[in-house]
Amino acid sequence: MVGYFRVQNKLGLHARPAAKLANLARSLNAEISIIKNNKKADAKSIIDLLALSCQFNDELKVEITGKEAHKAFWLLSQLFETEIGEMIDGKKI
Amino acid sequence: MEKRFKGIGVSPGVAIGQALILESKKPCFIYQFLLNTSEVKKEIEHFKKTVESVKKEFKQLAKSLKKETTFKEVRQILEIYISILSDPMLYKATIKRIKEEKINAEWALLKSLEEIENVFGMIEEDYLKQRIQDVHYVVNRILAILQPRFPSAKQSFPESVIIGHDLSPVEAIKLSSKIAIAFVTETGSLTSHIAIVTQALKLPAVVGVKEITNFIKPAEMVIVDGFQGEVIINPLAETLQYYQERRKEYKQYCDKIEHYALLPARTLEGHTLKVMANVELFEEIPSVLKMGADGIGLFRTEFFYLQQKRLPEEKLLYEYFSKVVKAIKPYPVTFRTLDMGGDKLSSALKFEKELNPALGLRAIRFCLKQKNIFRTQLRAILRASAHGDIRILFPLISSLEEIKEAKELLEQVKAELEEERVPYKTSIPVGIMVEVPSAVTLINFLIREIDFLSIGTNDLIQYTLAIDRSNEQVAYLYEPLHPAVLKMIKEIVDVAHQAKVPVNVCGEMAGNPIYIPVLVGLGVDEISLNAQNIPLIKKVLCSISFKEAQNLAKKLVTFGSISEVRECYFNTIGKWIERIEEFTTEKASLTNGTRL
Repeated sequence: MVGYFRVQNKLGLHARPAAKLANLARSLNAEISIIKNNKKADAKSIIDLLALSCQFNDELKVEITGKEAHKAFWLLSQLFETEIGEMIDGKKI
Repeated sequence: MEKRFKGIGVSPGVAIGQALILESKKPCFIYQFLLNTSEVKKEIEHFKKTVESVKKEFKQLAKSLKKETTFKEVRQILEIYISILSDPMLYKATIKRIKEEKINAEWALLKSLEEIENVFGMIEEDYLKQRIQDVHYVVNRILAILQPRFPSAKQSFPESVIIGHDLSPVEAIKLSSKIAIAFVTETGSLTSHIAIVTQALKLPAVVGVKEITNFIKPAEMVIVDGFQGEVIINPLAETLQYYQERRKEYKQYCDKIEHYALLPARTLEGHTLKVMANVELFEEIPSVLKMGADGIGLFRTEFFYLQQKRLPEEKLLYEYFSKVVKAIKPYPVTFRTLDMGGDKLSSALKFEKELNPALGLRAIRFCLKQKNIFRTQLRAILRASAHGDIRILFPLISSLEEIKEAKELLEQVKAELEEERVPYKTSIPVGIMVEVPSAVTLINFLIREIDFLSIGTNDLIQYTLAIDRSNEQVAYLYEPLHPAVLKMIKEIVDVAHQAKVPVNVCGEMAGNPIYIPVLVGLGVDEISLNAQNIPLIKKVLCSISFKEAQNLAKKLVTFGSISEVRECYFNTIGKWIERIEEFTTEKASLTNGTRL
């Protein structure tokens, strides 16, 4: 499964949203890769995600395989939709 | 000999204590050895167990924090650490190395760390690059348990100033419950996590003090000034005395402020005023509530626009305004529509450079010219009204036409929302900023159009007296107690009260204790000021008599010269002067305190 998401988070994918994304990815029986400019990151790794250095408005390609791919896709799109929880407050952590 | 070091103060306060120096970032040596095939399994178990125990430690630490909102961010940091602990690049990769290379856990972990460091080395964005700190903290914590290195509690002293090359938030929290009274680190910046943690712990901290560990010996006396970002080793007697005094003052100040914030905002006779906060950004709201505000009397919406790279869309604005409305609930928030010129708003909107921007195309004039931008903002504010109590305030109104046009646009937008079946509150109070002299002259006409008004004293004084405060040549002529200004305020209040319209004052006058008696005396119903000054202003309110203030104001408006007003005013409030002076020094230390 392949999807495209835009980083809506004004501050980019900093440590807090990255941790959220990684925790979600780890809870699922699926392989999730986040790709930006041909660079690939394992969504289960917060370190990998941070290294991708995603900024506001970057377009990300997401590849998902595995048993729970559909569920993963749905949950992921929700997470991106809510700006990865960023509306709570705007501080970088 | 006294030695002074400069860093960045990230948490306010003054501490005096003995230095406790943490060993440098990495352990001096790490056991590195090869394993027999039979030992591999045991080593992996040992590593897994260690990581598990660190994770448990972080979780318990998160749990042990008080449920206060100030600790919310600290908990989030701990969650990030927990996430790093189970990161495949750290956890799985280390296990794989133990298994395949048959090396001990510490060694394998360091190899994993090296690889992660390489990955982070390629990140360009500075903030993300610095997050390698977090990985180091986590790795060091695992290493500490795999191979103990930290000084035991026995070696340390009570009342210690913790000094280290680097300090993890986890260490800071743990040390704070035992011995730490302040923190100093060689690394770090304003964005370091240590700033958030130390503020929550209410312990002073200075970061970015380069190479301090090379100049300090264990148990030496240290002063940490979290206000100025200064660290003083082996202070002279007079330095020590000065800082003991500072420490005492700050402590008294904190105690008092906490107490003042809870005071009711009413005079000796029980005449109550609403004391509200001027707010620029959402992030200020927790402190607004803490300072005891009755709501937000002035939300300067332009600051959110300035934070954006481009003009924000309705959705973004709506979400932001809703967030504000929900956070301040059940108190009201007054959104002032865009108060700026096009030049500031967006580089996409090119405007003629104005010779005199204060008299130029800004605020309501700009909005009525750029109706799309205005409309979008009004829609977002109206939609946010579905979530709580809001008021709309139009800035820089100078004629009846302007307020009518703005209101008409508001009605149009309401009709649109109605048609689209988007929820909003129908009965939203609409008000104007009275800050242009023409609005004062026409106040009896304008008053029929509005539900409340807010006097912006800064601009009103500037426009009335034709004085540009930023111009040093004439700044001394700026005078809130100018009889013309007082007469104007009186005129506004009298007309408004006849029409049963409440009057707010939101300029700097409202935040200065000295001017509170005259504002109260003139009959102002609400004041709106920076949240940090609210406790102090409440304290002033509680100590004045409404009756006496009214009599004083009545007398003041009979004078024609500034000197007469000032003489009468300060003589009459003479009995308060002593107190007010005390307040102003408090105010000074407060302004210091909040900028840390």
